[in-house]
Amino acid sequence: MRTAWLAASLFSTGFLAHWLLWRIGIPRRQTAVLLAIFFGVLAAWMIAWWAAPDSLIAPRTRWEGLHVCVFHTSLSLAYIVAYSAIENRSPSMNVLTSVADAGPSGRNHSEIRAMLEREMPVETRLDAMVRDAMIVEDGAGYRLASKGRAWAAALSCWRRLLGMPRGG
Amino acid sequence: MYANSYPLLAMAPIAGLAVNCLTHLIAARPLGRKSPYPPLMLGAVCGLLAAASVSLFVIIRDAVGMRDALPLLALNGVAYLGLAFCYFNFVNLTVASLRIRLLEELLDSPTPLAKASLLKRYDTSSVIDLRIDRLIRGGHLVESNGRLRSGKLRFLLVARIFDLLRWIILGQKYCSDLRMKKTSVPRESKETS
Repeated sequence: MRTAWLAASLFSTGFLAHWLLWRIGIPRRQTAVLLAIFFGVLAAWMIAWWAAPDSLIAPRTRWEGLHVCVFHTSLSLAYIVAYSAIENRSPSMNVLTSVADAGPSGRNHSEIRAMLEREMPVETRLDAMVRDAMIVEDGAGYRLASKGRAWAAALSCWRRLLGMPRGG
Repeated sequence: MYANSYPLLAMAPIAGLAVNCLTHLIAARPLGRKSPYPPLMLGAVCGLLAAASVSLFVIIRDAVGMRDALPLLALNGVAYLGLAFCYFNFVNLTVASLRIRLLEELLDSPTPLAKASLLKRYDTSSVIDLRIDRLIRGGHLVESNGRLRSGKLRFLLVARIFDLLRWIILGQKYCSDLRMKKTSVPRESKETS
């Protein structure tokens, strides 16, 4: 019971800090700030545990402490992954909600295409990846930056192991 | 109370994730021919069963009382589901993300790729066709008499839940601005439909 209470309280503290900060102003680099908040709260708790091992917020054993860390890390990462869909609707979700909102008459292909054309130009994706330092553009064209290479290699390797074709 | 077994209990969600990944790896080729999602779901279920089994094993072995057992099971269940959700999204990037597709294209190319070459391979029109086709094949949209209507509702339900979360976390103004920007159908398209 105590472990569950500690774990739930820790994550709730991180979430509350995030929610309050977002009321003041939405930061430009939202994912980075979210990582800082959730793992900052975890780090602060671990420091408090070390400083006051008999306090109410300290776990009884280091394994209980690890249990709390596993829960907090899992939920924090899941929330940060989900946040990208909260921050911006994906084009597919926009299509589905738009078709649902149109009711029984639905939408025709040209309406859906026009909506997606506004959101999905490939140039926009390329510009965003240059901004995010995933790729670099020079005189010869686009090439991978180290961050982009790491992502591409990890995902490509796992995709090939699974025997999946390229998506997109 | 359960000093010797507690490490096992603490690591149960991670054990569940390992089973999830392994099951997915084994099932991906035989079950994933038509859609990548059935083997992913199978992996998720097997991982959940593994995490639950390890947790129950410790709870029963150490005769943990109901007052502690239920919260510990819930804790491990939620922690595992969080990890499984992260794994699902990691794999889904290779299925649905155009950015990842572009990154892989660049990874496989020994020389830099010119913008014109990339735009020729991935022109917006064919990317859009692929997206609409995927939604129809998945049953999320149904086509009849040249019009697209709602099909399976689960993805739509997820979209609505995210709309609610967006309203709670980011506020009403952000939601209105986003909706105006993203879902308005251009007037000329309505006139020609």
